[in-house]
Amino acid sequence: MNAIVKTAARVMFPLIILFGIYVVVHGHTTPGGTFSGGSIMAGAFVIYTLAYGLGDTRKQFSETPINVLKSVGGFVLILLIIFEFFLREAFVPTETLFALWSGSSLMIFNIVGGVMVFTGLLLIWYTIVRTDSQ
Amino acid sequence: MNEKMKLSVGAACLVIISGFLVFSTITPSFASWDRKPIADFFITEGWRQLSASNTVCTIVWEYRGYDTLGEETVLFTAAMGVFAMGIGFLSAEKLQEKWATEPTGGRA
Amino acid sequence: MIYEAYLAVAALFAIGMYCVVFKSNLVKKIMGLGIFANGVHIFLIAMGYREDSINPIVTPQNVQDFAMYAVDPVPQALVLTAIVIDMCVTSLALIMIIWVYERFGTAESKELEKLRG
Repeated sequence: MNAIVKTAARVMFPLIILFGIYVVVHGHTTPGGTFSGGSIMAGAFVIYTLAYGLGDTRKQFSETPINVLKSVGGFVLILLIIFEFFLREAFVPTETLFALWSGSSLMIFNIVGGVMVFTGLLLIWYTIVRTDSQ
Repeated sequence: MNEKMKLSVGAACLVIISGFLVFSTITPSFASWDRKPIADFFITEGWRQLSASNTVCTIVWEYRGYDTLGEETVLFTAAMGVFAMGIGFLSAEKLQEKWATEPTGGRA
Repeated sequence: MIYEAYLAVAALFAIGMYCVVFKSNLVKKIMGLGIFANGVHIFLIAMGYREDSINPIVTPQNVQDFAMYAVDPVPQALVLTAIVIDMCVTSLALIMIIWVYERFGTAESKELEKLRG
């Protein structure tokens, strides 16, 4: 790929991830949540792979921290869902409405779920593209 | 299946499904709001108990939380399965030698 | 009841079923499954419609009569789960098709029928 495509992909990459984080974190006030935000964040890596090729992308964003993040996220999610009843008042107060810092435990659920969807989709993308270069 | 049986099966399925859909639009009380007490409860009480604006988010994480736990388990298992099959695929030279030496592909 | 949405659902059912039954390549059958799944999701969400309604998000303008104007939010939550599960099934099917292609040299179901061990 020539220099224009590579520069455009490198410029758009942090902006797309920032927008994906916005959709995930505001999941309890606007339509969105874990799956749409996680898909947007994985799309940034897809654009980077199409511009640079899989070898350069795996050198910069290797697979080991992604595997670790997926396992840690799954463990935290199971603990959160099982013990949610006792921790409901401890996270965020449940008085205010229509603001970002509201909703008792929905923001933490959305963040952990968004990490799970993002890393799962990224692992599937890396594996299916890797079989092509053999 | 020969061609005639395939054609008749496809046409029969299409006729049955389209007939069901048209029938559901003609009868007046198929999905009327007199028979939805659960949706009424979620709409009137969901944002008051949890003080969150998005009703779908409270349903997914609060009132039906175990369904979401199962969905995340399926996502985790599928990602692990795809990763394991991809790792096993990468030693392609050894696989090609093994498949070439057996005449019927290892199955009697 | 929206009558146009149900016609679109019938059209998607027909196209998806045609692709699954009549096409020989395995990747095209998976694409037909995806089209069929989209039809099912639209059918589920269109059953919760209400005339002169708003989406089920509470804002400071519509707090008073929110219960009279909101659309049914329960099938939207169920379809969210269904979309994720369909995506997982499609990805596993695609990696299996790659294995079948490397093993037998072909990915057409008409030729795979003749390969008996």
